[in-house]
Amino acid sequence: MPVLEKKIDSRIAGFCLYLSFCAAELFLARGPFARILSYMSPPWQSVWLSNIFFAFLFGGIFPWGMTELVSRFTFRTLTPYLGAVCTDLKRSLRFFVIAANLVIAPLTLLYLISPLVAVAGAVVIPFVCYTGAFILYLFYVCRRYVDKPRRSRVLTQLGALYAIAYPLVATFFAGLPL
Amino acid sequence: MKKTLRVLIAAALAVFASACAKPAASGGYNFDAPQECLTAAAADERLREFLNVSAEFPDGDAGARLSYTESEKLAAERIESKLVSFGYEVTAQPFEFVDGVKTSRNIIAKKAAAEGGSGSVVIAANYDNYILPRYSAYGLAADPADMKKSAGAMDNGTGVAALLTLCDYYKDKNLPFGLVFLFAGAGADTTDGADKFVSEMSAAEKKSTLLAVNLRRFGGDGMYLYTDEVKRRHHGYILTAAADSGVPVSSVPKNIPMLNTQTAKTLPYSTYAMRGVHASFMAENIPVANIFSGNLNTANLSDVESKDSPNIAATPSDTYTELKNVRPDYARQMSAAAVLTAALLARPDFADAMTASRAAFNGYGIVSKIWILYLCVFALYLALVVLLASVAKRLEKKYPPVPPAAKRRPPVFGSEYEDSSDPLDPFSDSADPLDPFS
Repeated sequence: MPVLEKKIDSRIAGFCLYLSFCAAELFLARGPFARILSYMSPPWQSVWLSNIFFAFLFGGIFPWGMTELVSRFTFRTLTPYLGAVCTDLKRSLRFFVIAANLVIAPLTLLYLISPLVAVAGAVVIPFVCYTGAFILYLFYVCRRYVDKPRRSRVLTQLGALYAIAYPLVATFFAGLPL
Repeated sequence: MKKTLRVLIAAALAVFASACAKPAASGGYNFDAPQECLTAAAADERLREFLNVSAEFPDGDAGARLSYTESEKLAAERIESKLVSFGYEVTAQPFEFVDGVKTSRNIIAKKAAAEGGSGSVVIAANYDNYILPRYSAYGLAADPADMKKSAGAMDNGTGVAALLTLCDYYKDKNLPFGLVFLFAGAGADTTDGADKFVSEMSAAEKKSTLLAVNLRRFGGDGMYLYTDEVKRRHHGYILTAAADSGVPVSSVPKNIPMLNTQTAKTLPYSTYAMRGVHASFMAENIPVANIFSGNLNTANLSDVESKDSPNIAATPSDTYTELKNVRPDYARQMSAAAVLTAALLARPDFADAMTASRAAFNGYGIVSKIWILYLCVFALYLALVVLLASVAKRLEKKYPPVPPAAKRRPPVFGSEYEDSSDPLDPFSDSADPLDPFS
């Protein structure tokens, strides 16, 4: 992981993060796009204008943008205290979010088997996956990048920001069914 | 391992195939049905009467019939007089819009069960109309000029005509269960009318309702049958009835997208197939059947009527002339829907099948009380906050934090005061290599 995260260019990692959000949000983004495309005439059949294409392309923009924005803000606030290590913390975060998204994405396919399970899952699964990934991330960065006396502060600051950001981003904006 | 892989591939192919299933084409059925009043010509005549199509008014004179308008009221009166001419006793069930000023009404006709019979079947269609974008879907007001152009011929003049056809068919017949013909007001874009009807039903009536059929928007590429979000026994039963009577209907594809709106009050989302009068009955665990037309297999995954031309329903083009020109199958489909309903109700084991379907249904589980899930997530969230706080506190105790060295200097201009080697110096150059954001 440390080798991987340092080898991969941050722009490529950012793009991978965007793609992972696109995959995770695909099934929830199809509804709004179906509505928009209903009113286009003629009802295009071209695969390039299809719902899946648009839903994939645009569905991930908002959560990706919010994640980048929140992490940028978080690490800016931590920089005076932690210094250069914040770059590593930020870089690592992307990989953990990508991992969470890669777990969420195949689970959204449950919709094809049982829409009800998918609806219930849309409430629980993202929270469980992102929270799990975040806890692993905290554990990883504290062990790897943060010296012992600073761990409590890093934990408090990152935890507080996650606790504030998640309900805002996921519950209200990131396409949950309600 | 290989076997598991094969099973997985087979399952994936089955899901894909069912998702891509094409709607049944409107062929193979003899629409010169034995019952004269269920023919395509008879259904078309009912539509012309409802819209009042004449040489002078080729699209009728009923107006746009938007919910809670005078035009809708006029349409209700027209339905009422038609039902009276069939010999039914008609009830108008008025209700108010949330503003308490605008009113609408359901028109209800009932046919009693034959002697010794019990239970009832509701056959419904909304008779109002609505206009959507490019006008009002995104919060913009609909253009009044466009509103006047629409006659709601397809949505839901066709549904009303199919229902009137059935009213005509059943006027002299008695079934072992009662029939309720519900013409719902304010049902095109909401379920206000149907909600009112269901709220006025007694608990016993709800329990004894065998099935609620909704008829809507005929003329699309194919006909669909929707019964529920979960597999219900009566779904297969109705498909069998359709196959036996030669009516081409297909199930709604599994990949139909989920919409972030609520139609049935027990489900936190909706789909195109869920929208309609039947949604209010679904919320009461009454078996439903929504028979409608369209093409839900386009790449758009949207509520498309036909892959060959733009939608006319909910647009100013929803007129009788346009319907005849671009949706020539509408009359056959109205007839087919009426024939299917009649064939279904005529099956000797119909009441038993519906009762069994209702008994086998266990509700929507936790999804109907989605707030419980949100509450669980919230509890987990609080637990996470507490956990993080306690871990942080423990760490603080174990490894007391070293406060950052306070190197505060008064802001003085001049590079001689900068210490570029100090990452904590707020006055140092922003190109500090230790600053990740520089």
